[in-house]
Amino acid sequence: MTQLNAGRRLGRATETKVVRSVPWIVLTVGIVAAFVVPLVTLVVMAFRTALPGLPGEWTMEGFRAVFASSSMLGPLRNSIIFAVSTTVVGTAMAIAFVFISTRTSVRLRKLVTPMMLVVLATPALFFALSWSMLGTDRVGLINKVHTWTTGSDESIFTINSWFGLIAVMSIKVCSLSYFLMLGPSLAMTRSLEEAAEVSGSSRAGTIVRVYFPLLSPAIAGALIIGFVTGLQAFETPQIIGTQAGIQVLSTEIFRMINTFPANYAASASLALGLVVLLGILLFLQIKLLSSRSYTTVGGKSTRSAAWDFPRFGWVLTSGIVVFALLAFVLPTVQLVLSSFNTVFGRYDGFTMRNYRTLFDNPAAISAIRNTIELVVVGGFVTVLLGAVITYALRSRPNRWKRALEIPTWVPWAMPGLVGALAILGTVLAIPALHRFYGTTWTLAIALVTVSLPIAIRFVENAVLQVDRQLVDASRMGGASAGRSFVTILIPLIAPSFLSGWLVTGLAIAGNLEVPLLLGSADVTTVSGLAYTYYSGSFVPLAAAMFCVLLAMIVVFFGLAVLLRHLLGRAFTSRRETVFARREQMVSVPAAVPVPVTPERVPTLQ
Amino acid sequence: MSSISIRNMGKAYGPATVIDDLSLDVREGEFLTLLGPSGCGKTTTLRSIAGLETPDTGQIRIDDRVMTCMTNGTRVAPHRRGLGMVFQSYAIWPHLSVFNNVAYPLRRQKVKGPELHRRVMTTLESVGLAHAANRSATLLSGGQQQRVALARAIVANPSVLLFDEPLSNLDAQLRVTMREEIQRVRAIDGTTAVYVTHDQSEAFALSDRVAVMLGGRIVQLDTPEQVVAHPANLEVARFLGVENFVRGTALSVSAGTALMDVPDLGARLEIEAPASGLSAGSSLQLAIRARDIGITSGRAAGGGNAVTGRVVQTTFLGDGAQYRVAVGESHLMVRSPLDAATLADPGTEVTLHLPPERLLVLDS
Repeated sequence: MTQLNAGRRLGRATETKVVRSVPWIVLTVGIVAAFVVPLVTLVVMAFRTALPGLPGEWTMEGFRAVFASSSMLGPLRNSIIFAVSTTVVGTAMAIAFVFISTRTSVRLRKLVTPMMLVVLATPALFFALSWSMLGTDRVGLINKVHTWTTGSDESIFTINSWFGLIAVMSIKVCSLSYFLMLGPSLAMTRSLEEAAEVSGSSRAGTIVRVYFPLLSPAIAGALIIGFVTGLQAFETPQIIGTQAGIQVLSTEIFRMINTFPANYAASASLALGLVVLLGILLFLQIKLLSSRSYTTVGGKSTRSAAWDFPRFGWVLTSGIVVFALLAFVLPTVQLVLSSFNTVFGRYDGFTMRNYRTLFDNPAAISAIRNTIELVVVGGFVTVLLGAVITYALRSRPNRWKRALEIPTWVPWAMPGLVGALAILGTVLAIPALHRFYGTTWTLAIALVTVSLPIAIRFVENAVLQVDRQLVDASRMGGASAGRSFVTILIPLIAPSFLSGWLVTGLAIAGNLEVPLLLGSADVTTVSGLAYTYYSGSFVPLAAAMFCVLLAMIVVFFGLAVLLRHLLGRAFTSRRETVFARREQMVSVPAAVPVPVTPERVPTLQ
Repeated sequence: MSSISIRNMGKAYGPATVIDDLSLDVREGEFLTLLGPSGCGKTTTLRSIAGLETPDTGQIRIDDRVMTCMTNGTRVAPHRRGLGMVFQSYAIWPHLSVFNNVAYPLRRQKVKGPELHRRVMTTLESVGLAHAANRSATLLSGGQQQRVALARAIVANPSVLLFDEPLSNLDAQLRVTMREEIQRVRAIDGTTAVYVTHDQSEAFALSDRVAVMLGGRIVQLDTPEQVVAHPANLEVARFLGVENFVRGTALSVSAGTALMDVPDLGARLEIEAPASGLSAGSSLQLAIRARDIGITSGRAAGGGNAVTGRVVQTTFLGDGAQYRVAVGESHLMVRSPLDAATLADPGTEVTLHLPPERLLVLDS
């Protein structure tokens, strides 16, 4: 008997150390290639006179132009004003919505969370493009309606202003801040507010003296993350801000390589500066938010009554309605209407011409096809990589693993634009990669790299919560680490995987920076093409293209929900076995706070 | 010190009735406990008095002020009722110090400066936490937090004190200490108090009167001694933990006593006749606690409330023994402080003595 067993197991027992470390070598190489090399390229680019790969010399010109002159002070100031304003406005709105959704019983409050979820998942490009159209002088819907109703020719509203820029970005920041504060607000036991009421505090007083102070760590976190988001933003300032003459750091980086002659050195230098700034902010954010000491006492919670506003509850309800109007209804109406017009601003005609043009145009067809592939396959790969990285690096950590984790934080400090620029430089600099320039492969790799942080956030919690013993049992049963990962871990985290796939896919579909920098006329995505049409003043065509994108997003969402539903029963029964007891979780929490915790997000879970 | 008057209060959550036409009067200076199992409506009643919940029907008055009246829509907000409340989860504000937690109600009454300081410190001294006044509230233990909660509830001299199962989050030893704390604090100024708990010993130790609540109604309202000695009906007796229930038919009634025929036990038992009167032939529900039944070995000598039985199961409880004894056609549970040496084995023939004064008569 022993002889037989020995024969069966002996193969594994003789696995040498070299063989066992192959996956680790691959992972290390992969992480370095994906995160470290582009950063190095960026640094090199900042100090060369010519594009990477072309003959040139070392120079300080670009660097000096950016940091020694005062030409960047304007954009820097604008970036800061923009980031501060949008985070303050967005977070303030989010506080109101969190309060309505978790503490009151006003009508429509149950719509708030799903609404915010959709806003969060919708690419910023949607809001930027549609509001840019809505608020266009004289021909945008808002001004047109004003003209129709009052007969006046004056525009009451132009989007191309500081007000427009901040307002549109605030919508997106609001949804982000909402989810950052939703969890803490839900977790706060009502008894603290009730105790204040019984002790003589009016409702308003209780909100100010108890609710806000207890929520303040979450509010601070939301403000900081909103600020970082504002600094990194590209689509909104590019589409709305530049037309108002407002340049921020990200749009400057783009401008410097988009004009002729392109100044890659200056662009890269500025990009580096932005990375350093964001790196410092990231560090501060970790320090500030990790030292929270408010732990709310739990205990058996009795049913607590939500606050009723019999007299002016309608005000709060109408706030919800107004937000929905501004965030979805108006933008979608503008896009759909314009897609059926021949001329932007002439809403009287109805024609299918734009759609026909699109579907007759091979570039458009290829863009649609690219987008579908990138979303489905690219999204899947990104989430899978995120799961692999989390699984490999975050459980049973050792020094090597912690060291490898650091490069994976780089994308947090590298806005999409910078990342795309770095990858462009890398592809150009390494001769072996030249044949990938201008192909969908470059787009794919760039999109995967840039979207990795989002994917990681979505699968992180689920991966870390899986009881390690479930995977260990698979190893004992004879499966390799890779097989255990695929056959045990992935199925167990399936709900989070699906959510992550959808959200990452949406981020990829809506990403503008990568197609702008790495795409071409023939190789691009739907977002890239829509922007190209828009900036070429083919507005109705751009609207049509974007409506196609919206339709695609709805289809993806529907498929995801369907898939989730079909596998639903299997998921719920697994949930109990998946939960790890506290003592067995030997993984270390990530330093970067989770922006959205999947278990708090109600839909796909 | 105020009185509370509840009239015809009702509340339902969907199809489930939580409070069923409840009326209650709490006298000035009285400590009244709402005692009952989870879901009986006691917490909802308390929170309705506090104003944190609104009943569907009924009226709540404190002294002469109408606090809640569902017929004409009067609802005084909780912060205007002048009450003090101790919550189950303590509800101590983590962002304030101990001093500021206790000072909060006084600040709402615009008390300032030296007077504020004096009153807060006096109250903190009375709960033994004056030394921790400037500590952050998060640095206290559970028992200390509960004492801060108590101090906060009494500092503004409320007309009524409300307690929502305040001791259930504490461990057994702390529970006893805190119970004594509550008794001591109450002895100082005798504020009217309404206390909610599912723990009988707490209820009986602290209260002047106990209201036993089952299914959203008050089924018995009496002093603790009366509730223990004379549970109102079968459900109350069960809730109090009475173990043995039999039915009997009255054979004869004389001054103060009655002879009951109990076919389940195959015996005749003498009981104390209920004050409401009894006629021969009427059927009654009887009950007796396991610890009130005397047990001796051997056959019954006859006479008195003695029945013969056979031990079916013996359980050693440490400080005594529990026997399941087959008597007639049913079983009786007996608890006896016998020591291990004299434990009766299963199968032993025993005599059980059921003292008439310990036989509970429940409304049938």
